[in-house]
Amino acid sequence: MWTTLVVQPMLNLLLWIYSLVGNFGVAIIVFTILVRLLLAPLMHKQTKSAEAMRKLQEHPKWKEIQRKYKNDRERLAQEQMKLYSELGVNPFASCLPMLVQIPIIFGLYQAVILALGNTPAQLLELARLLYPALNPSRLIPINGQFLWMNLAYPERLHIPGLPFGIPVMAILVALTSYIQSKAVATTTPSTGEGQQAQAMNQMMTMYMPLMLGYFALTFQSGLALYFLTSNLVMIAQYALMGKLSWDDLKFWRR
Amino acid sequence: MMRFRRVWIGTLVALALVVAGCSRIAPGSWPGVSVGPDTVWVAYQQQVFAVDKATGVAHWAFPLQPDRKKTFFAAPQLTPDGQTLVVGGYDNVLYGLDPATGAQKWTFTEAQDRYIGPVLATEQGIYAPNGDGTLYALTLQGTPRWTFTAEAALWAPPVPEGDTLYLASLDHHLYALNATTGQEQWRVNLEGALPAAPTLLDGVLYVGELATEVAAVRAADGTVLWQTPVAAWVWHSPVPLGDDQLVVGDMDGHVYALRRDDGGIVWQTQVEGGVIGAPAVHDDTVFVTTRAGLLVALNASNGAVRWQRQVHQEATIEAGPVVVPDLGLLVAPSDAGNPLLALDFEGQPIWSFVPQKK
Repeated sequence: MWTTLVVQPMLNLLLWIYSLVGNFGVAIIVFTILVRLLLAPLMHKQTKSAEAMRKLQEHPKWKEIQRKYKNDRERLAQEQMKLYSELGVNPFASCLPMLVQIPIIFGLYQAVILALGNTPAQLLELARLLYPALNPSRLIPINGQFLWMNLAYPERLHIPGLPFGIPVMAILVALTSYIQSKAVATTTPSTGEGQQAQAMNQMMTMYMPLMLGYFALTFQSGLALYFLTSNLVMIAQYALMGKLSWDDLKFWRR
Repeated sequence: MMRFRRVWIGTLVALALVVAGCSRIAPGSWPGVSVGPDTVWVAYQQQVFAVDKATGVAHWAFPLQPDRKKTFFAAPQLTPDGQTLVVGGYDNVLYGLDPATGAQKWTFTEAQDRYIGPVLATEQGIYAPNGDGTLYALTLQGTPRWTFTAEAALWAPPVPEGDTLYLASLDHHLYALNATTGQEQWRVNLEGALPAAPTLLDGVLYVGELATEVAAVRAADGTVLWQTPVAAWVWHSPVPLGDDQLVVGDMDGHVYALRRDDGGIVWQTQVEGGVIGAPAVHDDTVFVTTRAGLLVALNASNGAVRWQRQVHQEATIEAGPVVVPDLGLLVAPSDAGNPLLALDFEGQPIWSFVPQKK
């Protein structure tokens, strides 16, 4: 079910793009931009929800319950939930785009492994999953070379004279994840339930770059390319919406 | 707030675990089998085994204990002097072993990728195709002589004739190389990946393609003589059938007898499950193994099914059957507890090799 509904369409879309552009790295970049475009309405909704949270904190009722129940955390939480529901605000809406991404990440991970399969068993599996309309037999083997990377393997940049390879993609993924997470974090409020949402965002700001950086370090560089492109597109989207403040990116502040 | 923090950390850890779980490497291939005078060698997952041909009892295993860092699927090859058994691994290492004991004699570690296919071992030396697209020519002692690099992975050994090697590549090309220097003599683009070695008969190279074709190419100059379309991918070398025909199977389970002179189809039949490994011919019977776990015997003159046996209930069979005239057939199921079975020519079991777990 998972393979048929998620991995197979994703794999075929990737290879269809590959058949047009002739480069698997470029195919992953185009695919990622398409995914980000599809997710744009969700992102817009998330931004609106964050704005609503910010306005909510200015609401007289909000201030009143903060003052009235400041010594009764349980009651404060109940009243806040009531107010959220009255005003139609979801304090956790910022999580949604990330949650939606999870099946895409898993699907892409498997699609990249299958597409760049370099063993007979992997090629047999690929053959089973390709739609006949792609004329797959002419596409095989998929060229996994992109810039200095073989997209089927974890990336390292080997510089003559250095005894080890530099994980450039892992560093870039961690860095752009930090910028992107920070941009999300700066759009959420900082009081009451908003504090909880902010705490979650702080966790994201801290752990997501590390986790995605670790994935980029360990797994196929095709997946790292997806993470990097996705982060860059999201940062560009936030910048276009005027939501990116370079001052907020200074991690030594606060 | 602590609750949310726990939930988030839990979510991230779960995500990491799921992705890490997804990273389990699927079995790379199927058992590689080769036959010596008294011994059968089988490369299967983490070990290479020498098995007594008459009884199916193991003489030795290399390494002695399964090693997670080593994976072998390429059929081991004995050098013509009988002194070395050569096998390549998924650890990018080519091993020279003592055929009597399995002791390691030498290694060659310059390749950048896995050894998928077997080597060619001749009196002139060893020719090792690698997933990095390079054919490594070595002396019989494992010392490098020359290299030739194609545009994509090499999964099949070259075929020798005089001082020429014919080499099939996944890059869609068939190459002719000088065996002494590695110099390219000619190449021809067949528009489809070539996962198996060509079959050389009377100056013509016959090759199966993933582009759902079988092709014939003149060995002297690389001229394409004919290309016959089939229904699905052909993974193996065409097998001679009589004096003037070839037999091939495709991934959808079609088996074809083709005329060697013009590629015309003499007969075709369908078996259950895809055919990946090369068919084997014995007397007037064509044997094929299928991904449905079957061994099927076909009448060589018209393709009619004589009988079929379910060799394994659960495992698929990708490796082709191997005819051993004084024994019967060797069949190697994939991902099964017993990677090697000996059957008689009626498909009745003789012995089954089960690697010892220590």
